[in-house]
Amino acid sequence: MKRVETTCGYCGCGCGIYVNVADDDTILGIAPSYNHVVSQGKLCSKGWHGFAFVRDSRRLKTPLIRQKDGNFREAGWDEALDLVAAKFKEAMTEEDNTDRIGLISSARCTNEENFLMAKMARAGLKTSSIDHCARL
Amino acid sequence: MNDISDAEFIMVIGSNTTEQHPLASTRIFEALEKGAELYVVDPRKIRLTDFAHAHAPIEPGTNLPMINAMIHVIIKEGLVDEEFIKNRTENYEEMKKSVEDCTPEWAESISRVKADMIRQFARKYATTDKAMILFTMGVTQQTTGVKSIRALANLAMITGHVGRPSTGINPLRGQNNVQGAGDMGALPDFLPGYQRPEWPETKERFNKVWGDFSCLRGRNIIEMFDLMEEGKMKVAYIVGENPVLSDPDQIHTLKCLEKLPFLVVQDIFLTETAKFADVVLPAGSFLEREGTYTNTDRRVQMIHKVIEPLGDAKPDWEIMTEIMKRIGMDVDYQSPSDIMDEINEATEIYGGISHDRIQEVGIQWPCPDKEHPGTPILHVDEFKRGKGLFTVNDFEFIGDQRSEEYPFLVTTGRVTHQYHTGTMTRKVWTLALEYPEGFVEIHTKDAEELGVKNHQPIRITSARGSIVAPAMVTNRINEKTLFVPFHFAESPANRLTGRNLDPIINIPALKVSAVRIEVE
Repeated sequence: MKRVETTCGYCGCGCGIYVNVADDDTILGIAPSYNHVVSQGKLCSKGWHGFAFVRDSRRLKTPLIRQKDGNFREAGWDEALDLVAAKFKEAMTEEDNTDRIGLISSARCTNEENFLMAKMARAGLKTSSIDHCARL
Repeated sequence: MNDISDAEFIMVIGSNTTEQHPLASTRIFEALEKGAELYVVDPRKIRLTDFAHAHAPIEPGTNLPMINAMIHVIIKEGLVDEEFIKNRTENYEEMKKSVEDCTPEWAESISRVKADMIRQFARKYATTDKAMILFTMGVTQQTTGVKSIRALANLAMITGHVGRPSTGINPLRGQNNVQGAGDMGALPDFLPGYQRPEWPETKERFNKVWGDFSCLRGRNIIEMFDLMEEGKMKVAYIVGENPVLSDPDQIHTLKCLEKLPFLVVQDIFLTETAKFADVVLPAGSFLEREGTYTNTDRRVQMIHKVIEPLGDAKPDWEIMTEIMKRIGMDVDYQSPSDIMDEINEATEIYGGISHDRIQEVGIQWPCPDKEHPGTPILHVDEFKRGKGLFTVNDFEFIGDQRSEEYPFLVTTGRVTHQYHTGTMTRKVWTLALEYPEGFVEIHTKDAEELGVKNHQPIRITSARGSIVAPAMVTNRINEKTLFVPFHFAESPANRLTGRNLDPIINIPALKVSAVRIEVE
């Protein structure tokens, strides 16, 4: 068993948690981090219990591509990523693409990931249309 | 957040703190134990009101008149901090003139909070040394949202309640990294570090780090959906968001997504939005990747990979890096720590924050260099712009109001055991058990008039759409006012909400929609 300290993924409080994990990667439970500067050993119901979705059977496990008949089929990473890149390139013009391509990033993603989204939008796809859910 | 427990007076406005930010509310209770007074402004008798010294049961969408009236009272009764106004602010006279007619009686006629209660709020706030204001979307998600925040800033500045411990106006952020997403430039009108696209130094800085880039004021979420409807938007890439449930006017959202030629959704589940995608990319959850989140205190904290991603799923940053390579960008990040190094270069506020420094304890930005200890309190000696600017914020009605056709106002929010669109929490059986389905809070008197019994399904209809959910008959909500949580796909609150926008930053008025009730 191992115990990993990390930050809770729900609200903006940013509580410290320990995740207890068995050797086969089964999550055994979450415990509060006693000396954490924000949570000081406390957690709410979501903090204590809210991890079970991580191993839910409905999790997406492979990329999906929509077929002509409207249904999804499973696909490999290369095929899915190539398709995404091709569609982006198809939509790009010589000029600015602010009205043609939109990126919606996430308050669930890390700082590093949000930075990449901003960079991909503005420096890669040449669109300034990048936003996330702060308004919602 | 530690500042909350040392406050002597706390005004909570538009925040259901015990349910949305349970840990922040524990600090409020600590302050109460030490003798602080708690004043709450909310259309519902939220749990905090059980511990509050005063509760203003305000009409949804009318915070601004009440705040302006508090300012009016404080000026009229000479309770202002003249020293602070003289040394640290400008434009006071202009603002003072604008609230001359904002009497508590005028505010009562709109906000339905008794004039004497407004006076009580104003006096207590102005005369307590450590007085702080906590707010969330109950203030911002209305057509006068920005004006209300600016008015709160006026209120804090006339009384000098800024830049000292346990004062200020403090937003509690609703999502683990909504602060960080803004900090990192996932915004149409800012580059990372809140650098404006139109500033010349922004262009210079980012040309060095990124090369050539699009430096416009882009389209926000609401405008992007409008562009989809007009057929101009060709591709959209949505990561970890579920606009079908979280955005206003669901029927409109669905129409836009159907019209969009190519949609990429990256998420951990096949969300209501992912069902419209042309390509779905499986991402890792918060336990399956490395990186940093920034909390509501601006504290940048590590998250660690606890387990391997499920199946073929990958952490978001890896997927993004792959796409960047395939559209021809020259990037080579081996880990999130490499990305943070680039963030150090690109922004002032994260300039000195590295993964190595925050392994034990997070650092609060601004942190411009590697030796800087971080900044717990903003605006201590001066405001970012130098002097604090008083603003004029006149109230006007925009958007939904009660009418003969729609005699109720509905406001939306969350419940303790669920989170946002329920993608995660509804799959945790212990949490789902607490609130298995949506509901509509309705006042006992209104329920009696309509012959509605507790748990009876009722249909509520706005100009946009209609939902059915069981009634929860209660005295904990204002009369002629309803509350619907927005977690539940079967009774989606955002089928009712409209695109009445705040004209300044386009935040939709999710907290105020006019509806009628039909008994099923």
